[in-house]
Amino acid sequence: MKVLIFKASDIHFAVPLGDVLKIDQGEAPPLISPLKTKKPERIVLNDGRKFCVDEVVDIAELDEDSLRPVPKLLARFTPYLKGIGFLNDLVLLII
Amino acid sequence: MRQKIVLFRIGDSIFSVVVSNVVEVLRVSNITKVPGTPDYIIGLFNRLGEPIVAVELSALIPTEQASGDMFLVVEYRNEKFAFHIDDVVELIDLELDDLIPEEDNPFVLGRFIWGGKPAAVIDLDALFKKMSGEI
Repeated sequence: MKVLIFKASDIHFAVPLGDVLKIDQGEAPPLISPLKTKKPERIVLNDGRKFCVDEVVDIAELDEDSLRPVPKLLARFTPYLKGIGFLNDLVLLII
Repeated sequence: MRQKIVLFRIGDSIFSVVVSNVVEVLRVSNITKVPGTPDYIIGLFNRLGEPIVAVELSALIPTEQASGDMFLVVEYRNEKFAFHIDDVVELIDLELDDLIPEEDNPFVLGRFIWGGKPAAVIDLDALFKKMSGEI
């Protein structure tokens, strides 16, 4: 699965590339309150969601075998998360 | 019931868990914070391709906060999570029926005296239920 990797508040997130409509500059709420972003870089998704990020880092191919479900102890606090991915040493929060 | 338990240290306090719940002890340098989680969740780390939730016990049980990068990975009800600890102390046999009851903390099964100091056995069932939202 190809994903767009971005940073917000020094945390690495990833979103499936197929879900991304565009990346531009503009106003948008942060991905998750109370995350703060420093730059007006904005990701707009196909479903209409849009949020500001600090930095678009990369596009990468995630091995399907490396995708994991959200641990039970986190799931009720993180409805925004679809899963966890690993890319080399990085833990990616997949939204 | 006599059980083997692993003693570990957080600050000056000694805690323990039953050894059958212990997966391993490891040092973790890279923990990913997860927004929206409560204070007791430090974040996630990668253990052999499995996301492990790192837990700060001091946010649940009155004790100091561990200061190093050592974690005790435990498994309970098929879920692995890791306590932030300062050190593993010893593996001992303990008669759990002889524990001194702990009235003040729902996450402690009871206490015993080890090396002249009080030590606590963590109630993994109660802790898990709290962390998973069952209570």
